[in-house]
Amino acid sequence: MKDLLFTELFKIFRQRKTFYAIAAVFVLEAFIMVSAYYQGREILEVLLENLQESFEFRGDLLNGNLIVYLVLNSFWFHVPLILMIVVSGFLTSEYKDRTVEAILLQPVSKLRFIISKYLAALVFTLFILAVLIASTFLLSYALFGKGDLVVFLEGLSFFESEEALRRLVLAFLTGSLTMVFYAAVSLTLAVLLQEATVTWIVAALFLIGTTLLLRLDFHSDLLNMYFFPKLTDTWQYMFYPEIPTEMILKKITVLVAYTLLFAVIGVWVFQKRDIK
Amino acid sequence: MSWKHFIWGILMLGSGLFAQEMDPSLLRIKERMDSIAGFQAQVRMEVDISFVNMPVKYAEVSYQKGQAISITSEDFVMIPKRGLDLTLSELYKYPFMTLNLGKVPYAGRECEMIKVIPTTEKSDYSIATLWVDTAALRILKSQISTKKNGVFDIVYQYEGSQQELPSVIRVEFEVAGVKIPLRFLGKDTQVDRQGMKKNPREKGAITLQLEEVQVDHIR
Repeated sequence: MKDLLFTELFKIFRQRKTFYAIAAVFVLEAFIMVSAYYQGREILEVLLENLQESFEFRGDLLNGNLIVYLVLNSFWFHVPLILMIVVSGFLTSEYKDRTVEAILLQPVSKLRFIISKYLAALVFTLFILAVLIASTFLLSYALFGKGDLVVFLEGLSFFESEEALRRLVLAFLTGSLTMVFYAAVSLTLAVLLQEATVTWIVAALFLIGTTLLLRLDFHSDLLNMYFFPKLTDTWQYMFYPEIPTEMILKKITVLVAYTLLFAVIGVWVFQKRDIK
Repeated sequence: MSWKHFIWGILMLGSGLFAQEMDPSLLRIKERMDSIAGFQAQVRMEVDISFVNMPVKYAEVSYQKGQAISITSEDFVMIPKRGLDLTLSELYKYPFMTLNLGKVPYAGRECEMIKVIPTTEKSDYSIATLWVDTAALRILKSQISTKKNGVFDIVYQYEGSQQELPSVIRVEFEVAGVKIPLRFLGKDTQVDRQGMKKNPREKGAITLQLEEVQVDHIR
């Protein structure tokens, strides 16, 4: 199993698309930083406009913590989209090149092979996130410095620099679970659909649908709390004035369960289906 | 009446009409405040606005006579546009007239209510009402109607009977609520400026607590 996992990882890091994914992460970061530099101050002014009647402000809110928060917001769509496209390609490219057949002609069980794919997807996702998180903090603090973070969630919440850092780290960790969920879903879609383009389209539709359903009120506490689209925003709760720890833990647990469920479905279908 | 007496009379009448007249009680307080050459203090700021969650902030405030108040902080701080002018120098910056409305009880003290009305367009407030504790020579409350920033209600609390500067200042004002987008700079961050303006106004406040106050007097 360990050898299979290392083989999968070796294949991933030999592929050009892996480096495209890393490049995409850096391009995304650069784009957010440049747009924040040119538009951030204006947006902050608009949002604080009503308070400016009564207050003068001292200190700069356009700082590294705000930039990190903006990059974190790419967890809504951009980062999962990149991950889903790349991760689904781990399997669809094998179907396309017929290397699945070649591998399974070796003394390798289908179960171990597909589990190693999921584990490799997990490692890859965590690697990309580690690159994203580390580079975001380093570049943001180096270029914009530290300072208070202002967040707009059910009110204007201000966090002092150290508290902002703590919450941003917690949000990245929680958000990483959501990214792992999307990665698992994309691999399961690859198992089900096999063809690369179809898988990408369905993965993108899944992401769009999840984002739309997140905003929908199902008029049911159970669905509003535990239906998987409602679990993809858990990281955002880290920016409420009082962190609802219990609710976050519940949501995280259920999201991990959904991730495992999607993975198990993929493993089960892969095992049952004949390789053509 | 000779023509000399007539001109002299006109001049005297003119000087009486256009001179800056100040209520004696307020004048005594102004003289007391004018004796302050400067002060510095640590200020603890607690914002109380329904849609703003901000931790207690600290800043250093310093004032030198004839200069604007300087406020410095390592953090991001929101400074109320009124309330930190402890010597009320901004009220006296341009010509004004005063109107004493008589004695009124306030905070268990007998005060005189004095209106300060600017007599020039240059002033940034249209009228100020002061609740003056004439026995202690201190202002307990002020209500300043500004031309651009609405009305500020400022309540001053003092430690001891001799202290000339307040130790706690509560500034109340009206503020329009903000429509908060779920995602900052995400897809839902189109900010509706007109919508924000139309939001009903609500009362907000900030409490300033002065600590380690050092006052320098003119010798």
